[in-house]
Amino acid sequence: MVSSRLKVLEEVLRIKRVRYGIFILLSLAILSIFVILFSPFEYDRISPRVHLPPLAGSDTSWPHILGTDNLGRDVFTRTFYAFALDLGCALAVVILSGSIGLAIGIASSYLGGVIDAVLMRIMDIVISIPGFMLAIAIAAVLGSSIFNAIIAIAIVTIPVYARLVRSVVLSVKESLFVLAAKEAGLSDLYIVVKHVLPHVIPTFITQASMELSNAIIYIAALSFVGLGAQEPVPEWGLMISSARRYVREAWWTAVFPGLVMFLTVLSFNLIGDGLRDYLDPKKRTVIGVQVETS
Amino acid sequence: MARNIAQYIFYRLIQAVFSIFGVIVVVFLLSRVLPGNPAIAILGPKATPENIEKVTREWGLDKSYFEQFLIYISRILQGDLGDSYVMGYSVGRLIAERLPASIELVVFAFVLSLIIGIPLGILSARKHDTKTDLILSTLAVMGFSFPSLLLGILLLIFFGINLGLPVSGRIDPRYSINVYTGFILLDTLLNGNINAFLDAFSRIIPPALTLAIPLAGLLLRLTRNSVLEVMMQDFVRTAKMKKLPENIVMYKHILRNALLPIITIAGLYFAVLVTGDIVVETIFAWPGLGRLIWEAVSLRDYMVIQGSVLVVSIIYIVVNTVVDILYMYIDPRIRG
Repeated sequence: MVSSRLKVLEEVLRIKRVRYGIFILLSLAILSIFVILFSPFEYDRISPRVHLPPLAGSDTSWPHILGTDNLGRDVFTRTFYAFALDLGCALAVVILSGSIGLAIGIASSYLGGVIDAVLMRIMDIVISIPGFMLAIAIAAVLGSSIFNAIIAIAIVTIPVYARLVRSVVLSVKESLFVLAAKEAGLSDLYIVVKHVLPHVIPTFITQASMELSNAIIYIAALSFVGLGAQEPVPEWGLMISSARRYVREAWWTAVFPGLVMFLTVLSFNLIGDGLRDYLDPKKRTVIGVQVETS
Repeated sequence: MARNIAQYIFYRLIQAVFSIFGVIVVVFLLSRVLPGNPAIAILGPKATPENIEKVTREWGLDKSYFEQFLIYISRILQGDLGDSYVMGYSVGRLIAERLPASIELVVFAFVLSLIIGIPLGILSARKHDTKTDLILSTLAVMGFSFPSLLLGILLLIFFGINLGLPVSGRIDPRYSINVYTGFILLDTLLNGNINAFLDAFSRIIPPALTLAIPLAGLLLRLTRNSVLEVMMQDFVRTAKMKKLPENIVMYKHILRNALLPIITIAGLYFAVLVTGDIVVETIFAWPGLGRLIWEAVSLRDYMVIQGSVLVVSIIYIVVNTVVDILYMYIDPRIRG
């Protein structure tokens, strides 16, 4: 079991896109940890030296690598604090909505009948509202804070997982080994955990990887609109929102946070994309998408 | 056959009506789960005692939730979305004023993404597994990973600062244009004012590109995969063996089949355009619905937010229903 899992991991890591994605993500994470630990600048320290261009000298041993913003804060330090913050928030969103969606999907497909019908109609309604609009409505009700933004985005994305899990469970439910386990008198819960869940996990992880990039975009967009992080929290959307007015004088205050955000989103899309092709053997051979396996 | 089509359309319409009803219920529940007095939330900063009393009477806020819902839904069905006390107009009027600008921008962006995405996708499929394909596929992934936040800022800098073009608003206010359709590109032409048209055209390009580039990346990928899938099928091989010219095989046999699934997926991506639209309209000061939502959020005007969510969701449901029905007409295979 362990060796076969290692083999899967090895095969996945051979996919070029997954490798590039992980490489970008790790580089950004290392930079971010380095900045949080060693940067001589605080993310919220205001100084009179506003809108200094990139690489301008400072009164510490570091230059302002990406310049300073309209309040004289170091853009490099803030951008990489924001990396940790946005990634953490996106993970929170995915864990929250993923686990609730998983529970709803399993309950729906296993209990069936009225419960299934009611749960799925609710999911249909939520999905028929454009996600970001619903997130705005929920966040506006809850009040502006990064915590409420996480809750709003998590609620909006639950149906994606619920439907996915339900469809996988329904297809596994009738397979021989599940029927055999039932015949052997094992409890439903045991069968779900031991025999059904392992089949859900690959699709689930692929979806979660794509949803991470969505969550980052949503968090930044909510903060940009004013319904997420509030000053002086270092958050990409909020940074771009405040820098927007000074684009003519200081383009770097808006462009660099955006670039790091783009690289983060790109790396999750690359990983998710590679995983999806890996899980879809039809695509691997028929369409000629180049996935290097074994 | 005809009966089946009618049945399908009927079933799809019923489904759409239920979805719209569901959306109304969700929006109603959201406005009532607020801790504290919903009248204060409706009024926002304008919550004076007289106003609170007025709103409570108007929406029946002292009655049971069921009665409140009946009042709510009967007003919605009459097209009355309530009044914005903060902005001083009815919500319906505010949205109606802004909607054409957003529709124009989104449709323009959508057409732009089709023009960029589909030909490049075909090219990528024709040259599959070559360097061209690799470059195009890489560009596609980068394209749809571009957050509208960054892309908008970059295009604002490029068009506004590097090229020195106007990048804010729909048109220079010095052009006085009679409004016929609400769509500025059409109105300027109907007025016969070419300079105004060129001004409006140059202003719609940067925000539309911001919305179009991610979608074009997605369409490129979809077209490529879809065309490749069709290329593997028997009838294409037959056509090739008959020595039909390659172009005819491509355009008559392959594209016709390959582009169908793309149409439905493109309909679903309307929701993605809506997200981008709010950001883009804010960055480029485009006076549409997205900008209205941004203004409503900064003014804490919950009535406008709620009304906009309702309107955008209903448009989304209608668009997807129409796309589904059209798709069924075009593709005989899915008629039961």
